[in-house]
Amino acid sequence: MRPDPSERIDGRAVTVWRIAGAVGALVPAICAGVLGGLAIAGFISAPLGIAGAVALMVLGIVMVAVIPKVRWIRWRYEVSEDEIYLRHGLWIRTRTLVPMTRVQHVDTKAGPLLRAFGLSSVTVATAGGEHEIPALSDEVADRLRDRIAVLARVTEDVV
Amino acid sequence: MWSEPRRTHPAGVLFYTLRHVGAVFTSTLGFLFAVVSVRADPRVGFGVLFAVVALILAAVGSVVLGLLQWRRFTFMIDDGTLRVEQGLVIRKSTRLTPERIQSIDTKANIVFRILGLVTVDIHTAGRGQAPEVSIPALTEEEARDLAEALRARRVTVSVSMPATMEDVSADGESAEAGAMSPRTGPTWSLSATELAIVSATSNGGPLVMAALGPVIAATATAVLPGSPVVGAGAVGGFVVVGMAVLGLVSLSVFAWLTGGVATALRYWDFATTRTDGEVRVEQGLLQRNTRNVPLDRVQAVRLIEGPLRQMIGRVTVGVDSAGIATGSEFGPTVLHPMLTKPEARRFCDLMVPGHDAPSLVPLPERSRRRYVIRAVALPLLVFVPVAVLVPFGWLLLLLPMGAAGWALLAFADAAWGRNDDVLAMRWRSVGRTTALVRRARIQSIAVSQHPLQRIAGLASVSVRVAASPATAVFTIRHMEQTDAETLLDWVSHGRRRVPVQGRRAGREHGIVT
Repeated sequence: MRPDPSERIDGRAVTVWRIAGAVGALVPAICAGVLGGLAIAGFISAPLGIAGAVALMVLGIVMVAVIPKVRWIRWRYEVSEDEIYLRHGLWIRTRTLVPMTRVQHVDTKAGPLLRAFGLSSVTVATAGGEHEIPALSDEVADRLRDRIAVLARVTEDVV
Repeated sequence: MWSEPRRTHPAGVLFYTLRHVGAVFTSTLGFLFAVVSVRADPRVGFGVLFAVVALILAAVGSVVLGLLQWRRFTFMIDDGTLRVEQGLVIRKSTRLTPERIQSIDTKANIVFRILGLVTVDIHTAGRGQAPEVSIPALTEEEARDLAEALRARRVTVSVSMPATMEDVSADGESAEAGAMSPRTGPTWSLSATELAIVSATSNGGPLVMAALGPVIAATATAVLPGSPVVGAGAVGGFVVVGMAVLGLVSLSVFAWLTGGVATALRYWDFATTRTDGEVRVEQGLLQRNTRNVPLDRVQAVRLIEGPLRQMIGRVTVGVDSAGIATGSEFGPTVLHPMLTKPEARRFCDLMVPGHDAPSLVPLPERSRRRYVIRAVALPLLVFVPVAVLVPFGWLLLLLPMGAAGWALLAFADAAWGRNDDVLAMRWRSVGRTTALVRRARIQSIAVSQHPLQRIAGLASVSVRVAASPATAVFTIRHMEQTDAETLLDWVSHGRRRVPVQGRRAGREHGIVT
């Protein structure tokens, strides 16, 4: 078994994902509210309505409290001279290996939410698709991008 | 002959006109439909009249527009560079250096075929399916000349192919002929009998329908509540069943025949030729295409066994290539539609050397269950409630059973193998596909596990290659976890690095940590 990649992504990723999760959790939250309201107003049987509302609220809490943290724990990356090695995934755990010679270009990106926390993601593009390392601090992301760019400037049979 | 700006053959007008005609007809017919669907309105008559007039005007317009576009299109070769001027509204002027040209293909529709003309498509890297430049109408001889003129200036890209390639070209007739003499090499073609078999085995679906049709129709008619059998008495019921069976069978046979004819037209006078550094595929009766696949752009070789062809032990050979028009909807360019397995091996050695098939390893027994559960879970979830609630709903449970049968096949067919240079992956969707990928062509590899796989010690492996996005990922599900690990390592250790200055410079500047 290969050793896991050594680096973790930035801890602030958890906060960012929680915010994103909270926005997503609005849907179950509203549904929970509606169910609760219906139950209280007597349109549906109270136990059923309350059970539904509770289940939806638990789902919302999991989306905000649990999933971002576990996702962060699962995310690892490592960039060596020869390859980029990623491990991530909550339910389906995936390990991805990208030979450095296959890297075509590398970008850093940051949306408004990431920018607010001083974070960027690094996107590595090969001729067969893109791979993203999410939520690194700006300086780490910049350094990593430059480092990959230099390492990738190695010729083999280019596609 | 190419040093002056020149137009193409006047039949080029047709090339542009046909492009417009399709668009015009669909939009006008749409309008006509909209007008007619407004029922019982006295204005309908005017609408139809208007549409007909519009159609005629549009047809005339297409021809005029085609004429103008043809007039505007000029091309020449200036100091080795292809210069093309085109475009009525947006003037487009293209300069194409031979080094950037990936492949030069030709195509000819039925009218062009009669006139002995072809359209020349010039492909560059990174444009996907659409050619960078299409030269609408040249005589076949002109097209050959142009291709040669552009090729002559083309820098040969050094291809990192294993030694077998040299061996092969030494055997082939092309080797001693040299790069610039007539570009012929070893050829594989399709005899009339083979073409007939290819056509007959092209689509199995209708045949299966024709075979199963009577059974399905009979059960459906006899069993379902409210069917005519109940009301019409035994004799009437038989008549209805008989007619349903007849209808279904004849429809299926018709679908099979038309599919077969289309296939025959497509593979008519089929020939694959290995020239230096390229594989050339020529095919078609009404629409004849010549397609060149540069060997250094080949990303993967696929051996595809459709259900019917698998039964008679035949294989279709295709290649995935990067940024090259494949000329087929389903991804790979077909290099040969039907070969026996030993033939396919020799064919691959000759046409796409360096893809020696490694011996295949089947999946472990315990992954059989994963295949079946994966295929059956969703249908069961949907159909069990239906089966309980609806009378005769249990018939629907045949579907999950069919899915389970398919899953058992898919498990039995899934396999992988590797040698030093090549990874083989075999899986079944409808037919069975074996993909051969050279290690140097693997863009990335991913090993993934969901919790149940983790418990069972299984993992799925996906390999990406640089081909059209839809087909760029090859996956084997539920492999032995330790085998998946070895594949990660195999890709990881398989690099031959050729350092260039930049890397060292980067290190000196302290960028590399």
